[in-house]
Amino acid sequence: MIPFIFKRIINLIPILLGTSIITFLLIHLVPGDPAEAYLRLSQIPPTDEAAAHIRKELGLDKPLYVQYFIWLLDAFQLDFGESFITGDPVFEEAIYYLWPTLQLTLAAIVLTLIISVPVGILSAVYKDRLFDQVSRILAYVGASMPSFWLGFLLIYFFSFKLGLFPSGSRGTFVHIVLPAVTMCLVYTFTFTRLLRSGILEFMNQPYVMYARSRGLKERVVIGKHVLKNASQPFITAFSISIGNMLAGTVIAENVFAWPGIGRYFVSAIVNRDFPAIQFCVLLMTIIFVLINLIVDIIYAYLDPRIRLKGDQLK
Amino acid sequence: MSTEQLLSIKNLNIYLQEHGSDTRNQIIHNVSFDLEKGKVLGIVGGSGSGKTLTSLSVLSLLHDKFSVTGSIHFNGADLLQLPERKIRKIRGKEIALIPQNPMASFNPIISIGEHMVESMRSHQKLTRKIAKELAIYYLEKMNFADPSDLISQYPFQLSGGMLQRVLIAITLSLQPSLIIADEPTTALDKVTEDHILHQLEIMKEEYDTSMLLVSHDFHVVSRLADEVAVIHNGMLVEKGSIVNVFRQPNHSYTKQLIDASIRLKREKP
Amino acid sequence: MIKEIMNNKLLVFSGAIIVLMAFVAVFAPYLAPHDPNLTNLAVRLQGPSKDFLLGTDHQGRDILSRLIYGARVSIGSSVLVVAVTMVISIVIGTISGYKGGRIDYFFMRFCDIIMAFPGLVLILAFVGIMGPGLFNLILSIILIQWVTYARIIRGMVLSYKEQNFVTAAKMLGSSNVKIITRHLLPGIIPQIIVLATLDIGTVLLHIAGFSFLGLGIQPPTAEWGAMLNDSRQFLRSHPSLMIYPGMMIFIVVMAFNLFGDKLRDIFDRK
Ligand SMILES: Nc1ncnc2c1ncn2[C@@H]1O[C@H](COP(=O)(O)OP(=O)(O)OP(=O)(O)O)[C@@H](O)[C@H]1O
Ligand SMILES: [Mg+2]
Repeated sequence: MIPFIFKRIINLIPILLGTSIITFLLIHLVPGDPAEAYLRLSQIPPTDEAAAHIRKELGLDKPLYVQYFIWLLDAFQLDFGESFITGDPVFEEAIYYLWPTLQLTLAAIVLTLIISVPVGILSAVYKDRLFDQVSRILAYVGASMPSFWLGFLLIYFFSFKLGLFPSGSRGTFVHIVLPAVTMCLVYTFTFTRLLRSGILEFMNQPYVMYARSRGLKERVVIGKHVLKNASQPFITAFSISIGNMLAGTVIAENVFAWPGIGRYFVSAIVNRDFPAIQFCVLLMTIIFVLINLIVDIIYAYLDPRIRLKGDQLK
Repeated sequence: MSTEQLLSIKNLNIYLQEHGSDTRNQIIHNVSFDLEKGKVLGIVGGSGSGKTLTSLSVLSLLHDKFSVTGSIHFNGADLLQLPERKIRKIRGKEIALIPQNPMASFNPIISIGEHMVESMRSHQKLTRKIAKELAIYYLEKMNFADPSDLISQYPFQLSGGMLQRVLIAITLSLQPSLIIADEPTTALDKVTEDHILHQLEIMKEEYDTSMLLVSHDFHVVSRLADEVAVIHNGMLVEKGSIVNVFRQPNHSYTKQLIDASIRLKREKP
Repeated sequence: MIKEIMNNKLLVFSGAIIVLMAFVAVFAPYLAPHDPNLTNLAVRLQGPSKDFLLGTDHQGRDILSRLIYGARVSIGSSVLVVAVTMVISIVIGTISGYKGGRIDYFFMRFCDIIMAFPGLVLILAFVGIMGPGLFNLILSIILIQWVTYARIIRGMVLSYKEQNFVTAAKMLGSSNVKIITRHLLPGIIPQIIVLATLDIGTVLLHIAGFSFLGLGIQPPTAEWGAMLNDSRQFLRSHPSLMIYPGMMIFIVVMAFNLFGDKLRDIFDRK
């Protein structure tokens, strides 16, 4: 298990390097001069002289690969440059905003699992009955619902009309309820269907029939022989969706004025704050890659074929 | 008379209706046979003749796209009328199935030992530790060299023949009164086949277990069975004592099957 | 039987919504009672009236007209994205699947890398790097989406390639282009239509979402997502500003999703 994890971590390095190179290149190749953005944000008149001066100061006059190496060297010391807007190190700013986002995502994930797993199992067990039909309709609704609209509806009814939850910003536990619900509802019913079809697929496996033939209780048959196998496609989809959820926080944070990295990123995009944009992209990659790693470890834990692979061949 | 019968199948029909389809096909036609306690009944037929479907219907294990009519009396009760809850108590404990395809019958992510332990523990009050020791004991009976190592292995680490032997060990450990063995020796080499048939013989002698022995090979059946039933295209074409059927087959299909198995035996080195 | 009719009913129903919306989008200038961008602070935030059937927004613009023009932008840009995506995917997917070999290998590795990341994350990153605006948004979505579809189409082509009549056509000496256009493509077109229909809903949600964030369509252009963003300050006092555009997005996306799904059911049965 340990060598397995170690190997996976080593594999991450080229991915991160690749991402940083691509982001770096794209930012510098795309129209829109960072020096001009800097001047605009610092409210200095963008004359040619001023631009040349700033280019020199920011190191933008050097060849691209030199710039990249300088950036990389700095990155190793956790120096990702200063925000054009605030002048503060983007690393510190981003980390400051990251925590609330992780909190929100985590709440949404937990909520999604709490709802979708039992509903998925029940939909499979009561296939084509009323329960299943309702969950099918909800899946359509969930897949077609714009999350920002859902957020507004929730605010309007639960906050303004009923006064049950606050309409925005961060604070006590109740503040997280509406944004988390907004983020989770979109995914929950899709997952429900996914889990349902996974279960139904594995229900017909010969080993499930054999488990039944030995007189195991239905609860054991489903829980042990079906669910553990059926959970793998579910986990794959889930890991992808966690990434999408993280990106989706952008919207929830915007609707509920949640002070997270999503809002930070959006304002950086709007203002063309290049160091902040670059670091946010990198951060998203790192988080997503880490999620993948965790998922792979869960896989290996669930499936001995992955854990013990290589025993037989070579 | 009928009280001596352990298993008595009467007018069994099995229909297939695929999900969302309007047509219903009959696959098993009016099959009837009896099995006396302590005896072995061979069910012989070619591929696709309906042997597996018939066997699975006894334990109500068919997918719900199949519908079954007729009666299957076991120890006096009609299995087709029993509620799922009661059937579950019979499965494994009274009637144990040795499924046709050992490679597909094990859950790939559950260890061999766990397969055995969970089976025993679902019918008897046993601690995990004792169940594990019993598992090792039964695996030893199946001539495994190192059972205590085997129980922590996973199905994909074993060969098909080994898995077949584990299936029989599981069946042994459940000590049922009736075993339904679906092609227990297909796709095995002759030495392993011999060994497995020998184990089944021991089970029959030692524990007085009755058996439905399903096979396409007359030769295999003739070794163990007292009686034989021949199925062709979902219909029972012939039944009788093994000696009679072997000597004087009435149906041309039975003759073909016997000829084929004799030819096979001759070709054997 | 009942199921079949139900399926068809939903198919007809969702199809009708789509046709209606397409009609509205195309003939927006004739249907809209007002100029969608005409501001008139004297009539701001009014309720429904004879003049303004759905009322006016915070700048006194007619909401109905903005919704009608919004259909044009939202649906129009989604269809554009999906159309371009599909053309790229069909070309590359077919070449990769049909030719096989090294081209196919490199294509698949490329897909593995791109598809390892969730789509939304990539689109966000691309828009982030290229900057806000409808053009950049559309470009980003196309750049990300085509990979997934090219791969699916490659799979279809592969499974079709093995079929007898393709081999026969090859042996009869048909040119590759002929085989692809006469035999392969007609066979996979139904599946591609299903894919495209289902995708329009997703793309529309993306475009509306990014416009809502201010990263897509820029004000004052009437677009449903951007309208929702405008409605934010008046959520408590004038919830209808938020209800209408959201409802439009929801209905249109739902119609495309339903239509695609039911279409797939029908093609699958054949
Ligand atoms: N899951 C299934 N779905 C549809 N038809 C089936 C299914 N299983 C079996 N059948 C049909 O039922 C018939 C009998 O199948 P069965 O598996 O009982 O044959 P068998 O005698 O066990 O054959 P074999 O010796 O190959 O195992 C076959 O002709 C097959 O077409
Ligand atoms: Mg069979």
